[in-house]
Amino acid sequence: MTRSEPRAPDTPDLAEAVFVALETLDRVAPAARRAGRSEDPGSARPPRAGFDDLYRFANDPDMALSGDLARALASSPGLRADLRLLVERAARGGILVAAAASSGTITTRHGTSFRMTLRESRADRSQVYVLIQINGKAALSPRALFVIDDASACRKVSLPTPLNGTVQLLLDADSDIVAALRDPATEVFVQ
Amino acid sequence: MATGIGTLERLAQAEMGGELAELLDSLAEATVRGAPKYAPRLHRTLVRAIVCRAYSGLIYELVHLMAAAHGVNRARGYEQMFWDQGPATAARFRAAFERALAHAPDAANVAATGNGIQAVYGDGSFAVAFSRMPLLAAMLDFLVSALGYREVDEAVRSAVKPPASQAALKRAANRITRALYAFLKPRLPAAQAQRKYRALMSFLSDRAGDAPVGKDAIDDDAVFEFWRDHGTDAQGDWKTYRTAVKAFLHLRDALGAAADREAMAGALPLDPARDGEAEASDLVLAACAAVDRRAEAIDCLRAPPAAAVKFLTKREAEGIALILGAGPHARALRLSVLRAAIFGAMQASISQTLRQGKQGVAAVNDACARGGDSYETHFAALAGLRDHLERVLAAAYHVLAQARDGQAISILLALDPGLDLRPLAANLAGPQPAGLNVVAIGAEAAARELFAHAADGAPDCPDLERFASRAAAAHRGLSRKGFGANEAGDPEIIAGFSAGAPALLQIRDCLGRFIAAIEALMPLARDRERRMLADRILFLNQFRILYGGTP
Repeated sequence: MTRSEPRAPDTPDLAEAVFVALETLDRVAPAARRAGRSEDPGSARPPRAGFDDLYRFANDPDMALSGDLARALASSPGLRADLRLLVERAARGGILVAAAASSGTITTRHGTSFRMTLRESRADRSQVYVLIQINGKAALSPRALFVIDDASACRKVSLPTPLNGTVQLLLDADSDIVAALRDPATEVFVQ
Repeated sequence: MATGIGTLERLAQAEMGGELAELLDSLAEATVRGAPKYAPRLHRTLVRAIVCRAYSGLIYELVHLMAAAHGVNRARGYEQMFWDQGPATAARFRAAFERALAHAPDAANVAATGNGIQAVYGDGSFAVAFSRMPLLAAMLDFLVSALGYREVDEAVRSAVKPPASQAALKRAANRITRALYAFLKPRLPAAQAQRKYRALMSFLSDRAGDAPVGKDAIDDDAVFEFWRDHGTDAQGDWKTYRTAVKAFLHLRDALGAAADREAMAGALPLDPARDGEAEASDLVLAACAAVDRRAEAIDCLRAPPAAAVKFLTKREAEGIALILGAGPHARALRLSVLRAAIFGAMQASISQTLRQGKQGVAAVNDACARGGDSYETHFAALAGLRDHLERVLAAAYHVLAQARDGQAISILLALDPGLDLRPLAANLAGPQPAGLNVVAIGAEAAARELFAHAADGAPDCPDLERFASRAAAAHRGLSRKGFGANEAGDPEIIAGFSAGAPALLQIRDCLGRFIAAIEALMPLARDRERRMLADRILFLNQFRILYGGTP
């Protein structure tokens, strides 16, 4: 068949642009609409983590890390960077800066409102006390501890009520979180 | 098969396009505290703006909203307004701003205006309506997912440092717009769609000879001939008949939009030198919005508050999706739409059989042996669905008339336009203005009178009495969610019927017009059966060529 040049209206660019947009809309239209999935809860995909989840995880001390969010964080360096920024914004007293010990690990971190110390338990050497002292001038009650290293994303520990200006946690000396707290490369925030 | 660079490029594009679709899906499915964060209609508006690249104005508005939200809550930042308020609704944004302003009455430069907020800067002011805020929130969610929180946050925070100005916010919006453009460039490839457009136009040009090609050049014969001639094209753009039908529907819309543009008296041509890109984007967006609106009826029924009532099953909704999508073209392409339903399903079945490992011709023969719907059975199913919609609407009238909801009157007039309501007129004329020789009848008074009679069973208005009785019977006869006798007074159910009624009326009209168009083409069952037999031969031949290499 011979092909001649298309004879379109005088505004062929518009016709082509509308056609391209309509075809693209069909291609990227939400799957929920394409398949009518919203009407059949049984066939719905499991919920995915959104930025709302990330925001609430960073700002709500009582919100635990959900499986969806953990998977999303594990697979996305960008999301981990976003979480770090959100945690930094939500943190009271900013980042706790490490003071390096001679062994290459650290036992103390300082912030503008808090001071954190790791101390071996005298009663049980397999355990470590994490003491978070509230700066005298800061009328703040810390509620959560965020421990962030890029490789394993973010750990969050809910904190008990302070006693005499100090929050005290007792952790296994061999636990990942203690190792992370001792690691100078880890960033620690108190919320 | 060797994988060439072109194939790799197409694969890469498909992957990036898939990433965009996935991202938009995740927004559509986003939930907050167990409820959808964004209404489907709002989400589609966002998708259209992105696909049509008409987002720069939205981003500028968003940046102003973010600056205002930041200004009224510096302690927690704009983030709290967007990600800690529950589902994105105008009411929630209104409440959030009112709360924030009550706690910080001297907050920066922001004030409530009744319908929204206004921010005043040294170089001007900017207002954002509460009704726009959910859409802007969806845009922010999309931007954060696409570009990353840091990119968006840095742009906005640098602009809100005192003294904030419109100029600084404009720069921030431009920065985000450029970043989004770069993100979308590889993810919204136009090459395949452009190729399809040119193939369709070239075909129509050849077919039209010297006549100009407009949307009316596209008819059922053109659709079938094109698919028959191009189904085996190496690029695989036209293998499925449904793809060809949808593309021709899009082309009719596109050519219609272009013709409308031409017909606008005194309208300026697209002029790239005069911010033509933005102008073109807006025109494309308007055309796409008009097309997209056709599907909103189904979305409306699925979304709250209408979702409280089970108006249509998934299968019923799917059965009319293509007809609704065809909109004003359903009559011109009635046979194509019908063929897409019947032979499109058969082709999907063949593809499924092929995926299970069966050989081409055997798969076609299998699908042929399975049978499936014919034109006559499909026609009967559509007619049954139309009757179901009539019953649902009558049942909706029953619920809404009791609740004295105005939608009841729309249903009444649509289902029975010849109803004789004159017996109600005697009580309608209230106090009349002096000096006029006409009787003024207010809409409210008319509605009040009608509902009062409906509540009494309308004994003095026989037509209304008959209709009310039919509506009550329809309500009793339906057993789906929302139609129970004890649910009729439930405010949530009433709201569901009220919200769903306009969508149901739209679907009923659209379906009715399509059924009438089919009846005009094939009035009798034997006409439909005869056409089915002839088309079956045509399509099976083509399927054998496509999948078996021989007719």
